[in-house]
Amino acid sequence: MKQDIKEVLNGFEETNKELPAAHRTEFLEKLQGAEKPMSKPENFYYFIKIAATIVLFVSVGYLALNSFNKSDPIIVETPIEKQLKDIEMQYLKHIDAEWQNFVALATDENLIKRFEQKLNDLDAGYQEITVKFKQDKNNILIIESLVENLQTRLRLLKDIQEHIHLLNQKSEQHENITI
Amino acid sequence: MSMNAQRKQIYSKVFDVNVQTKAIFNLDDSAVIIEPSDDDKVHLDYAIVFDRFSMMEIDSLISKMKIEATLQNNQISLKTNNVLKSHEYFTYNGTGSFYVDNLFKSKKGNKKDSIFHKLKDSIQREIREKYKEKPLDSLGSWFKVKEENGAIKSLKELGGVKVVKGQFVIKIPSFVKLTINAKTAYITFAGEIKNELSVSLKRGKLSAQQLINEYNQINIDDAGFEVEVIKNGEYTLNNISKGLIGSIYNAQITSEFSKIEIGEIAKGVSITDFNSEYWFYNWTPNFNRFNMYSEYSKINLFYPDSKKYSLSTFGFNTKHHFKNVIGEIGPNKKGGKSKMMIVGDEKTAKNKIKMDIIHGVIRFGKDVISIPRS
Repeated sequence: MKQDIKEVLNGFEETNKELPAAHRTEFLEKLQGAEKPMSKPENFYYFIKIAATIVLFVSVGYLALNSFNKSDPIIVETPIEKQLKDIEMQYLKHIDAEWQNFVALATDENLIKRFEQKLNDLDAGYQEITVKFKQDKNNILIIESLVENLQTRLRLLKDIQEHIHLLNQKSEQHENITI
Repeated sequence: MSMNAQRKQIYSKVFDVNVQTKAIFNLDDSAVIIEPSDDDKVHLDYAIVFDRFSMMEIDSLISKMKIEATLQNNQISLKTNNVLKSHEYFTYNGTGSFYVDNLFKSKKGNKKDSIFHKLKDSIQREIREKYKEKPLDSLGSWFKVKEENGAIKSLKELGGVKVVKGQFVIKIPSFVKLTINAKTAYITFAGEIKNELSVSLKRGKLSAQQLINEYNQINIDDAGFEVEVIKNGEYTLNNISKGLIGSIYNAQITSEFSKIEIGEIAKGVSITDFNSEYWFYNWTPNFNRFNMYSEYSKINLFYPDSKKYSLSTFGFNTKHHFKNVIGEIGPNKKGGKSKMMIVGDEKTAKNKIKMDIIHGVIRFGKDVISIPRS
């Protein structure tokens, strides 16, 4: 977990304890005591401890390195990603506006449901292509697929509104037409 | 491609097959050409031609491609991923910003006031010419860079586009039953394809010269669809932005949200549609009977040449455009469907066009259909 080091240090209280005057002599005495030759079994355990420490360090190092590699990568947005995000936002704004116009114009609930389903399907397709784009950001075919998907949604909504306008046009009323 | 272009064979495999053999192709982000085999073998060949790419770049590209083909229990399984006929990659190291020109302008241009009659041959020619079309020719027109000095240049002008051209050709004997499941794939059937086909394609394009098996089941979704000759089979066409069918015989189409032009309708054709636009240009002399069931559809119909036909529409809330008149027939007294328009004598006519349509627009014409604008 990432934490600001300043915040962590803020939690600490400095202990201004002074060292005892004889601390140097005490330290030297302890050091001499540590230099005493060890017996054989003590020697054996000493090597075991060193080996264990090495294993521990290597394991911790490996895990740390692995977890560093697997941790969230630093995501740098490329110019084309920024551009596509802008394009997507513009299109979605237009699509939403056209959807509102369509819902206001249409009187057939089934028609609205069919379009809602179609737009959802297209959105699911867009998400699929987005995954591919993240894997291959310089493939023009994928970029074109993304833009085409957005264009299709807008076209469908504009076309159906035009169709409804045509149906609402004034025309000659007949019981039937025979030619 | 320049003189320095290099060719590299990526994959080649041959399988011996017999009449019991089945083939299943799973194609993802791939383009394949499927054509009849001259022998009793299935041949798979993929080669690429590249220019201005380093070997390292090519190796990196190839490493992303996946082609696996096996023959087990008399079944060929082919899996491909990222095997396209054309990879166009861009690189741009300048400081300009990307922008898209005319973002909201329709690719189709302005709405037309008239629809002109087309011959079956001209539709088939249009399909053939599209075989040659590079998939991304249109891209350079809208994908541009605005440089710091304000100059707007296409990526191609800046030399930022590199192209790898590939061709994956599959030759298959006509007796092998073929199932294709594809996503973002460009499938071209060359020649007369007699195989029994079961195709499911989502995004991409299906092009074909002749599909003729009576058990064909073709499902296309959000993709292009261009076939010179359809004989037999069932077709589900959803969201086809520009569909072209040269001629169709004894086949059923179920469609929605599509735009489909048909050069010639022959015997045994029926269409069930929701909210598509259709163009019916010609009819064979013995088309016998054509049935259409539709809701919220727009139909542009050119009359048959022969006078021995009848045309009737049944339904309600449908605009009929003929000459300069727009006629409308409301629901019957019970609020249901009724006979709306009759051309010719249904009892004696040899050929009958029957349309069951609600909330629709039908435009009729001989050589030209005028579209009145509100």
